[in-house]
Amino acid sequence: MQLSDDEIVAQVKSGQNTNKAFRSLIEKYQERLYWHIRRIIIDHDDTDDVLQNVFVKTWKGLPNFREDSNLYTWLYRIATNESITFINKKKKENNISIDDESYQLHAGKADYLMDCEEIQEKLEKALLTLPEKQRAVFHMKYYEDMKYTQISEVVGTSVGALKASYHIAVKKIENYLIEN
Amino acid sequence: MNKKNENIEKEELMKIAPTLFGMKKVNNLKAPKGYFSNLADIVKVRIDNEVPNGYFENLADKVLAKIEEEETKVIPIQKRNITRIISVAASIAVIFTIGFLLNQNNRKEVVASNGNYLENLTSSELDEAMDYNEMDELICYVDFGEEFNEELHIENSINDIDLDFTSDEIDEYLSSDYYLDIEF
Repeated sequence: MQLSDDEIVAQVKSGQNTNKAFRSLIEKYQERLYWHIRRIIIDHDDTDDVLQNVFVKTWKGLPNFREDSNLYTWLYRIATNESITFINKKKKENNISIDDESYQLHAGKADYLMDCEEIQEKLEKALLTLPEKQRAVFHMKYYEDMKYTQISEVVGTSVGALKASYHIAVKKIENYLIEN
Repeated sequence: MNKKNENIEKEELMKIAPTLFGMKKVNNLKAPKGYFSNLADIVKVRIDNEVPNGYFENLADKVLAKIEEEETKVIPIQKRNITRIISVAASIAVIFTIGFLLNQNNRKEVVASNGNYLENLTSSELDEAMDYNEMDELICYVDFGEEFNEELHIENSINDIDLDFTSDEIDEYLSSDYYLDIEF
């Protein structure tokens, strides 16, 4: 039986059944976090590294976790920050400009588009033109149907700014789909 | 998300991005088979091998404390070394001193025993000893040192020579070169 977020936090903090509680946390959130990171980073191996880092950081931070936010949004925040940090670091290493949003295309990581439908391929390419943070917001809103208030907690931006960001992202994608 | 808000958002999306709105929400990305089945174990291994929290924050202090501890230990070790060296030197000195003293005592005993031996001899024994034929034997008993022994040997050799010559024989002998063959 899967533990609730509160039970996981309580067990980890109390030091009782810590390993079992943490395993439960991983099993509960691994897929959602994986896809969230994967949408930002695209490459599986890089996503795997980042996801492991996210769980290691969660393990370290969980005893001091303040329950003024949900465990769910806290995990997404760590995952988003880790993903963006990873991409910026990789861009620096490969001497690709931070402003170059199509870094994944430059890095030759668009092979996954070979098998998908033409329109889906276009959508994926359009997503790659978005800045990482905007892409993360789009993913959380469009694919995961998260509330703006939740996304706001994850990315640390006001709901108004988020709505504007999502609006811009949608327009960019639409234009890409029409033009290409 | 309540139904009303959901509808508003859908309407907005339909207005600003009709192409996107009409598309299916498909995930074109794929994760390797079985990836999620052992992720928890992989993460557990990583956590177990992770450097403990705050390790590097205290590392400098720990290293400095260790260095300080080592340095304070070094002083007594040096002192202990000096003590050891002194002890060894003193032991060697004692051994040499004892050896020297023992040697001195032995020499004194030898001299003393030699002195006593001569003192205890009777006059007849001394006369006997003075018999040149037994001088070698006496030399064997009393060791007065190499120089003295040599003298005794020479003297003994001279005394061994048969001195029963006539004056003519002596003259003849001296006039010839034979005396050169005499061995001492």
